[in-house]
Amino acid sequence: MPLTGTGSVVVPIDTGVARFHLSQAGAHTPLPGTGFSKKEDLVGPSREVMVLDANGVVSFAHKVSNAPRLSQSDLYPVRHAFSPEHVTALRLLGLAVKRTERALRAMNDADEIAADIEVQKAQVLLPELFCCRSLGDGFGGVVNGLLSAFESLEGSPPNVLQLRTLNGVLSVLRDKPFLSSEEADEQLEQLEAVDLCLHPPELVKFLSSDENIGSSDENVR
Amino acid sequence: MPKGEKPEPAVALPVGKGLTTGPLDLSSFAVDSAALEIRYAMALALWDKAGQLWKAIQEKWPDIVPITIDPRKTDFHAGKTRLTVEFEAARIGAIDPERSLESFSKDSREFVRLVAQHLQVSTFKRVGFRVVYFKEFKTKEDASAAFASLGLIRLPEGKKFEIQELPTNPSYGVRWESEKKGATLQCRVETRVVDIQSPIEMVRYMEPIHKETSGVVVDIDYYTIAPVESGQMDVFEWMRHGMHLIARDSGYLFGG
Repeated sequence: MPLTGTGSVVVPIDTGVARFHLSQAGAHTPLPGTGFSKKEDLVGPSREVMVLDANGVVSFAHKVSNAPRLSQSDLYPVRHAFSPEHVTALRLLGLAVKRTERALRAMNDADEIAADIEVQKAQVLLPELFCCRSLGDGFGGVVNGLLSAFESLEGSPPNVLQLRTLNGVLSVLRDKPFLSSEEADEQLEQLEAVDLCLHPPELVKFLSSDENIGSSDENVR
Repeated sequence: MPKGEKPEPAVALPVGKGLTTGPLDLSSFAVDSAALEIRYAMALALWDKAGQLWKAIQEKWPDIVPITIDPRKTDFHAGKTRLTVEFEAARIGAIDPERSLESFSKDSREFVRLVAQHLQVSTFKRVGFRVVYFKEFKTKEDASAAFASLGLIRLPEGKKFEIQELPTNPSYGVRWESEKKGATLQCRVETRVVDIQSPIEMVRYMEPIHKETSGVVVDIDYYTIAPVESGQMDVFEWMRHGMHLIARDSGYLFGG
């Protein structure tokens, strides 16, 4: 790896199989012109570039990758290697996203009956999706929230804004089924922001009855 | 060779660990080591959270023993597993893992989950999975002969560089890369030498160790190039897909 000479030098560290990281300590041969030595890394190529300025100071810059994002099918390409929960979740989420998209299109065409049918078709997928909650707490939390959100509509069709949000949340879940609880909370907040209730109606009823009990206690005192 | 007789397949000479007579293919190799590495943008939280992170890791691996502790790098081992967390990368590696890598994959998932959670990493710049297979042979020459029988490279005949002997420790390497993913495959002959002289105080208790092992190595590194969000990645699932790809696509080395 040529590091001699003066002035700014940019050396890509991606050197094929043998890739080098710099460390000040160690028994490795020092690179000429630096106090650093090269050390073979454990795994694969790097996307870093090493910048050596005129004063001999070494710094690292990360190449901004213009590569497209990886999809689930890029990351998990072997059909028979899927766990049953993962492949089922991806299939159902794909269907749910398509159905909410169709519902949105129908709403744009002022065909509310067609939109409602598509929404109902999406809703019936949720209980089976909930069975895939072993994918993670975040996944289970979002599906649970979606179940309650649909229930809270009490049979009425969602408005365009709600439908768009539902579609967005389902799309995120399809792309990131292993999302953390914090990421799941962000998705649930979006549902709440469009007036979808995320708690089961029974819980809401129970909590409101608690309030009544509390107020009656105060009356007794 | 008499007419009509089939040529002998490449046969591994049976000596030592995990050796059986038979044609050379990946199933005849032992899994020598496996490693999983994640890289991320500089995680300054390591300064604040290193203790919490390692305490959480200690709950999973109670026998962890420190190797390196400095502000830029923390490195522990637990039995045959090594765990490293740095500013921009974390890795878990195992020596002699079980063939299916099931347990190693589960450990890796847990390790990555803890690192991502404590260092607040939401995007991985790279995720890499490397597995090294090794097949031991009686001598370096036997290993070289088995490697040559694969026909991966054409070795020059005759005297070269004023050396009459045949080349030793040949190596073959290929890399595939797309915008999203990559894989590196190496097949080589390797001679491993362990030479440990016991300290004078220990001579009474410890014999000096000298061991030389030659064999063929198949070394595969499967990695992502495009960034991966943590919510997209289940390391256990991803490694299982990777293992299927490795088993399927490394078959060509052995004429499959």
